[in-house]
Amino acid sequence: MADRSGSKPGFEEEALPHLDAVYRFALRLAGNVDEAEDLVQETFLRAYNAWDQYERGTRAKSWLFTICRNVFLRRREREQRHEEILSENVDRDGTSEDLVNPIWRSAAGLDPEGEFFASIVDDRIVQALENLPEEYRTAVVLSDIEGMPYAEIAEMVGVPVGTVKSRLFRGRRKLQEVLFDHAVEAGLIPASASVEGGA
Amino acid sequence: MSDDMTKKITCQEALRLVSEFIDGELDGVSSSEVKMHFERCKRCYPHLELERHFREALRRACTREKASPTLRQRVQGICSGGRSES
Repeated sequence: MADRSGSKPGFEEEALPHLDAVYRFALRLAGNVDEAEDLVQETFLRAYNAWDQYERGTRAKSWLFTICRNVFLRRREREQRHEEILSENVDRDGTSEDLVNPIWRSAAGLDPEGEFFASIVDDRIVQALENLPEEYRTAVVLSDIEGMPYAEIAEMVGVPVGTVKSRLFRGRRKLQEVLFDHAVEAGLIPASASVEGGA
Repeated sequence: MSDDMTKKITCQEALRLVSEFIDGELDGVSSSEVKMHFERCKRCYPHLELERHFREALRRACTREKASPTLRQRVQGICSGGRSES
């Protein structure tokens, strides 16, 4: 219920501190400032209108992120069909191919600990992240940048924890691969290192 | 290669668990056992470092942006009355 000033008690205190985080999340989803700003406004407007249904003391950031992603996905659905992603029922306990990171195999002896990551410019990393399919991107952003637990991501996105793990695994590997290739091209590691397909 | 101190966790297990270990999401395996393996196993340690360097770079690159003053003002407008100033 709104008070006399028209505001809803507690909303600003709980929601506003997450503005920068919601903005960054929106930016990663949308890929451009204009759309991200629009997404943020709609997110806060919807959150404000649904404030009476929000359970105080629960995770406000997670709640705002959920709204933001839902708004984004609905808009995208109107524009295009979802990008198809590969089957997600990956057996993570399976092959040895899964276990050894392919870029480690390529970089071994040159930069086995991946120090080249520190030399890659921010914009290039952001670009690589934004090129991931939305499902992988969201999982990576929520886990690696926002530090959310797997269970919270699963609840937010509406998938089992195993799917979150699988998306993280695939998303991270893909990103690492792209960034490794960039590092080789940019001369950040010797050109003799290149990603090889096999084990 | 594993030595006596890393017997509890094999190299294969350590590599399988590297992400869950970094994320603090190990399920049914002791974090200290995995940590000890990576600390003592020269073969596995670079894998852990690679994953850490990757995450550090990602966080560095993706935590710079802040909402613009204009956006902040608009959102504050929403917070105080449920409307956008735009």
